[in-house]
Amino acid sequence: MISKHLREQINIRGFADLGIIDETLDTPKLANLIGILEKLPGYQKVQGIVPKREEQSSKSSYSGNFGLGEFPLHTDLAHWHIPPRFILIRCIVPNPSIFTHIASFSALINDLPSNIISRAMFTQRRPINKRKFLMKFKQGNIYRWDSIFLLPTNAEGSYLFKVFNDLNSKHVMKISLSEVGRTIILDNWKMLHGRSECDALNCHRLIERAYLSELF
Amino acid sequence: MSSEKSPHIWSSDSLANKCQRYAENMLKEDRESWLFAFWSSLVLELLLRSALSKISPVFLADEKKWENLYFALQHEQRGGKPPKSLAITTVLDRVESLYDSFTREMKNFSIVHIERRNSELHSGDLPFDKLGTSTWLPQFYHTCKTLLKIIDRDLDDIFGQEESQTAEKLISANNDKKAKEVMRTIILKKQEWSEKTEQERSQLAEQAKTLANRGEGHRVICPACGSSALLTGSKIGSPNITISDVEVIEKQSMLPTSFKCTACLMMITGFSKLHACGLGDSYTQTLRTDTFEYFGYEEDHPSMYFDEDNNERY
Repeated sequence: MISKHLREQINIRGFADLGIIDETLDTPKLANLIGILEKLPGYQKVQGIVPKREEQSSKSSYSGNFGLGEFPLHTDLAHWHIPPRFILIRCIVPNPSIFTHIASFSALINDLPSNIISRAMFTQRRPINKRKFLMKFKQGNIYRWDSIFLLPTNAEGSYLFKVFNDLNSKHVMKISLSEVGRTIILDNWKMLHGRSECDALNCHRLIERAYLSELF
Repeated sequence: MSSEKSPHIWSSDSLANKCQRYAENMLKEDRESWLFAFWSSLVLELLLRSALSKISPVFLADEKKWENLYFALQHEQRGGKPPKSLAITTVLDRVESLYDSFTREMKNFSIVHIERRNSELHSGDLPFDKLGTSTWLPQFYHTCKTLLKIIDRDLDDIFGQEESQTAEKLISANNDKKAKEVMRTIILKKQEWSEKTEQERSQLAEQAKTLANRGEGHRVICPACGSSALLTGSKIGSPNITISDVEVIEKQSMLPTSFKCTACLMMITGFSKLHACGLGDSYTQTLRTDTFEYFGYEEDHPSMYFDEDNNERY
């Protein structure tokens, strides 16, 4: 269970730095202590993520599209009807030259007209379960964004593509997961995240990721 | 809340999102076009289904076959045939029973409007052609507003801010009981008109025909004297613009706001009153402009390659 203070931070800021958590506690156990660990169809409960070259990866992944280049800000599984709520990210093998980028939707869309936010609509780039469906940028308390897995289906959606392609970097926070065990939690419905470019000669990094549906 | 890869095809959200797409198509059409009304009937059906599914998609399953209920309970489709949802008439009955805000008047309007759609799709009849907006659009928006509230959305979400303002005007005009008093004015003017001689009436009607210039408004028949009269109005939504080499045609939907008959001198101001006396149909104002003028080219612009002014060149 995380402290009241950290939960408040997640509520208000959309993320919290849990600091360095004992290496002897493995990530699934850690996730289960913090909240309800979700096993998503087609995913391991905890996924190990390392930088990969474009040619080593599938086109349906970010590495397959951006390789070792910068990963643009996105919502994890933005093209799902309900994307996972919380993302736990834990450093296993650190690399201080690689940064995790995060930004809050509220800061990015602050100046946008309300009708853009409430009406922008997307569909998936590729069908899910052999079907396509419509998704709103803001559906209830879920905000979603992905520049490659989503396609705009109306003028407001196209407008958002222009806005997000031209994001102001002043809203982006760079976090270095530079110590073994350093752990952060993101609210995937409120925050976007991405990754800095990796140097091909110095791209060793391993982080573990888990999705949580609730926090205790 | 747990993650979900895809929504149920009968879920309230997926139906409402699709409804927004149909509403966008509806608003791309001219208001006098049959397609404007046709799309609206699809919007209405999806909203009704979305409202019912708000309780549970199970309410949308055709319970004649258990496979439909099974599918509605988030299970995989069973049997060879695709799952079948409930007939719209039953949907209407259930929505009326479950939600007090959905009145009998709204139900009756929905039955008529959806019947038009059925007739459009299943017969050679053209029920949406020449269907004046005043006969259905205010009730349509009133019904949609109610259904949208049920699913925690509003007119802005589905129709956009600009159109929802127009929708609110139409709804309030439709509910404006006082506006019906305009009928008294019409009866009085009718009386005055009948007291004129045949020659006077014919002369005034002829003059009115000339004065009711389409360039200054929309020509209609005066409900008091039957002469040609003019409606003027305010713009609704963005214009449809067609650009050719020769001219730019701008078609703008207009909501009538005032009426003037130069024959019997009857004047009516305000949409509510116009709606009450059957003059509330929106109309299209067409503006044709020379392409050259529309883009504001100056005559001596070198790129236009016009010949020099010359009364008689040779």
